[in-house]
Amino acid sequence: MKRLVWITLWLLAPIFVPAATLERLSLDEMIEKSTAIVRGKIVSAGASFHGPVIYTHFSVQVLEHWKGDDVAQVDVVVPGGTAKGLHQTFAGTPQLEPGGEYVLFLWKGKSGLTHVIGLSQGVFTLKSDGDGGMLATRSASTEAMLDRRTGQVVNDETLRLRVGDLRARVSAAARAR
Amino acid sequence: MVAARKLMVAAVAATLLSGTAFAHYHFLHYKSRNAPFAPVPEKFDLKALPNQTLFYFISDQGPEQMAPGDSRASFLSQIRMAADVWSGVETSELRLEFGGLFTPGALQANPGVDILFDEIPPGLVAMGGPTVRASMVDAEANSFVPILRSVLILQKDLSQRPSYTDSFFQTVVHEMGHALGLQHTMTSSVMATQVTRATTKSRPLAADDVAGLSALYPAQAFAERTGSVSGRVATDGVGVHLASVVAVAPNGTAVSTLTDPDGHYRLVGLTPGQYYLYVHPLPPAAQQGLGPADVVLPVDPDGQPFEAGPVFETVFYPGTKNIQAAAVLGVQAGVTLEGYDFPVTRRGGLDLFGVTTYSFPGNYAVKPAFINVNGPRNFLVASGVGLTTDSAPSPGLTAAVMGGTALIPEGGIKAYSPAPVFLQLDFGFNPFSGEGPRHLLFSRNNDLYVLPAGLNLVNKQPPSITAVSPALDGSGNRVAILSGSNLTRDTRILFDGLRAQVVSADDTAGTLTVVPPVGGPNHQAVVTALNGDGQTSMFLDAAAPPQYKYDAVEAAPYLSVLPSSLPAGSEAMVDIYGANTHFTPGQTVIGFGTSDIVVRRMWVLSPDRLRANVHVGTLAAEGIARLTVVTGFEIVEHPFALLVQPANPAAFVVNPRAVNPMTGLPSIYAGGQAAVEVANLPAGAAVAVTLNDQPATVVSVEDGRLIFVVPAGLGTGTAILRISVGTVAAYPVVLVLDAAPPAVLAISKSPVVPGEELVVTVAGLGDPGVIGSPRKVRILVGGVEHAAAEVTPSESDPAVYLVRFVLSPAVPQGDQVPLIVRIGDRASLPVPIAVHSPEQPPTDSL
Repeated sequence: MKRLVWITLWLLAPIFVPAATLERLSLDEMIEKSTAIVRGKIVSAGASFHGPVIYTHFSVQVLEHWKGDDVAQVDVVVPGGTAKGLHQTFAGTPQLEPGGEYVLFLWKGKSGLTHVIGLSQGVFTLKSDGDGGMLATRSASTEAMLDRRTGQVVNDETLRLRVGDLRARVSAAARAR
Repeated sequence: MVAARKLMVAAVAATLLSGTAFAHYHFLHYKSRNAPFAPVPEKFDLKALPNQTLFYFISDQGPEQMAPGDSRASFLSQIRMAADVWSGVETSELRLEFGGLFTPGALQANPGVDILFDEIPPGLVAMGGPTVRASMVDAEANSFVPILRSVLILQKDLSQRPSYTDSFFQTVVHEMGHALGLQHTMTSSVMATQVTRATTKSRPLAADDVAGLSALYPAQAFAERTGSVSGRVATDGVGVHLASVVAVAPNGTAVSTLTDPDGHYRLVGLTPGQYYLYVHPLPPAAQQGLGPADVVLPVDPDGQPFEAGPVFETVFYPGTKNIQAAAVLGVQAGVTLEGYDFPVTRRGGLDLFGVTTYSFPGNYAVKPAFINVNGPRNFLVASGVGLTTDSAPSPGLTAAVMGGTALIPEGGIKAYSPAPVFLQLDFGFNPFSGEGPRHLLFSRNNDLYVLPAGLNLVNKQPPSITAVSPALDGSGNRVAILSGSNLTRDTRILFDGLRAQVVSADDTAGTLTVVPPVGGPNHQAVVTALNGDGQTSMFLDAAAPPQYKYDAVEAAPYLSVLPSSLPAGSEAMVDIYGANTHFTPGQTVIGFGTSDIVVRRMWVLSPDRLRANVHVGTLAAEGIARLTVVTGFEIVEHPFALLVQPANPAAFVVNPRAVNPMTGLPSIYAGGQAAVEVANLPAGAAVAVTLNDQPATVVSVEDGRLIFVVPAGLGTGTAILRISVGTVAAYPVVLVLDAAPPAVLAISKSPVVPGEELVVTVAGLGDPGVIGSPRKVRILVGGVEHAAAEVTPSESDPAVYLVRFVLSPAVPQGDQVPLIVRIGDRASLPVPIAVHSPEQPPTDSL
């Protein structure tokens, strides 16, 4: 019965960042819930209103696509930005820099807008590993987690991976499905 | 003794919030890059809000998917209850009110909060916070950055998040706190992260939340009822930025603040009592672009952030990790304890932080941990960084309960066997363990971690509702009979987010009879019981919560509105007629869905008739405004309620905020004078004035201010004011007539010396409740306000009261110092008294 208890608990337990309430997603969950996963480069950014909220639209040149449709470019929205002379900010949103290269876990809703999964959880920055390869890094989770499906306690994923390893994880997850 | 040495009666109430700046966990700016630092918080400008009321508007675009049995009315009720939580903080001036449903579109010009249901990606539950700000309002002591608009975004798909859950409610309260200007704290409040939050639907705000909001929007009572502590946190003499300083009552509340870039802090909002004081570094950030603990870093005038100071050792004042050696501070209302400095020592990193506690009162894990000291499950389970290593308690880990009201026995710190990555703490209690929040102390590797309210002691199990039965009372009115356990007359009962009135309790049968809120057609409401100890029936009933189903309605309700058009810039009385409606005082709210049209006040005249004073902003967009009337779960909309026409710059516009010209207060009465502002009214114009169709004598017309005599024959309550000049009339507005103001009959002595007690004999207070709440009665002497210490009825006349208070040293001296007795906005005429210095002791009495 205790195991059932913990499953219930963690399914309901969100984590919070300033101005946002997040659910911590494991890497496998992010892979599963993403509609697209790409390695890409930010080529431009512009903001516009969607109702009373400003979203910044980042145009991402797709260098590799790991999941989803094979497209050359994808438009990704992030809440906040400057439009019509007004500036809105949402703490905790990912800091995407034009020219920057990232692995992005993306989710396309019914509206047709493509979001980053879990605010900034779905953004991995890329840096050289000093050995000719690239490292994909995301802030590590500091919390113990239970797997949503099994209820087993799992350690959080190491969220600093070689890009090749991350690509392999995504491929393996796709094959498993 | 330490406290006594350090005690400096630095200020009385009036100066509590001036001078040395405070900085709760707010969104902060600083005016310069260098010390001295004066925190400039982001907040709504109360002076720009009608009646200091912030309206929130709820999108009509969602939620699109809901859990079975859920409805838009259910979500609406929970959102309104969450807003009411913040609006009910007595020590804050800010009030929140429902502004109507709206269709998201362009930004609005006036301050407000937009609540949206939007497409949100997986991993994100909700967002909230200020989105549009104005330029800084630069004032010497109270500069701020006005928030113009805030937003709260919820998921469109709420099928996995039922409206009745604690988590949904607390998420809305939390995000609304962000929208009002609060950041996260580490002090187990609703504004804490979910990791350490210790609030429940029964106790939705912690002292830290109240202090944070009140510091932004202070009411007079905030300064009067609370004290503060100030000091500096430094390492090797260098101030530490964003150190968190916490005052924690051993068996009570905790309030925190952050240091400025120079290490200074001022901790405000402490209710009088005994406190320990400790300082801790913030845990690391989990999100990029943010400070430690995901705090939005303060910025300078160029928008450049001030980085946080180094990680350091957590210590209690005066610099000890041993709670037994910590000083106890005696906090008094209106007093600042100064000089509580913390020299701290750097450390490489934190070994312990982010601890969450759970308990098991039934089949579900409850967070935060509530333990029934009379029950069999005297343990909690904790997760957090540094608690366990390799499925065992981390080497060297210790744990204790502050204050010793609960003890952890030998061997009581162990891995939780079903999931050993978690820690189990066993407790032993004694007859003096008491009830309420208790604070946990963890240590390891010379690191100390304090978790306020990590454990809540209770004396009984949570309430539980096993059955909800519809019934009729003796008068044929619909009631519901609730069966279950631990239900008492003091138990609060919710139908979704609306409170049901408890009309009787049968202790023998264990039942409560309640009056359900007004229902909507076929509405299903989840019934929840909240007990005063912080526990709710969801602790036990969450898997299958009891429901109450309303009947189908015979006919759909609809509305009509008169007048149906108003020009921009107008003030007018608006009558709303309903058919098949159930308007009910206390349950009906209305709104036009835009901050351009403000409902200043609304009255329920009957189940099918409302009346309201409405202001259409001068910049209101031309077009049709919709009206939403919500009564309980009954939501009635009129999509074409009001046509906003172009402004008429020459029209007479009557501001319905009438004041007594003798006192300047917004309380008028039959036989007295009233003053109203009337735009475009020429000086000396021949104005015809009526109140409820009775002619009123005009006293003067000057500078757009009309003073008239309220006809003596009118009673208390509403009266319709009509003003015309010749054939040109203003829109009528509604005024409220109060009872006549109090009258001072006698004063115990004059001359009087500051510090002496005075007894004022007063007639016409008109509120027997003042005997139990004497602070409602205020006495102004020479402009210095006093709260009554005691109010008792006169032996000779129960309608006459004796009001006792001690004359403040701040009262100016003189032979003709005016004394005024006030209750609410009703104020007596001034009576002169003589106030002399102590060197000239009074010898005479009245």
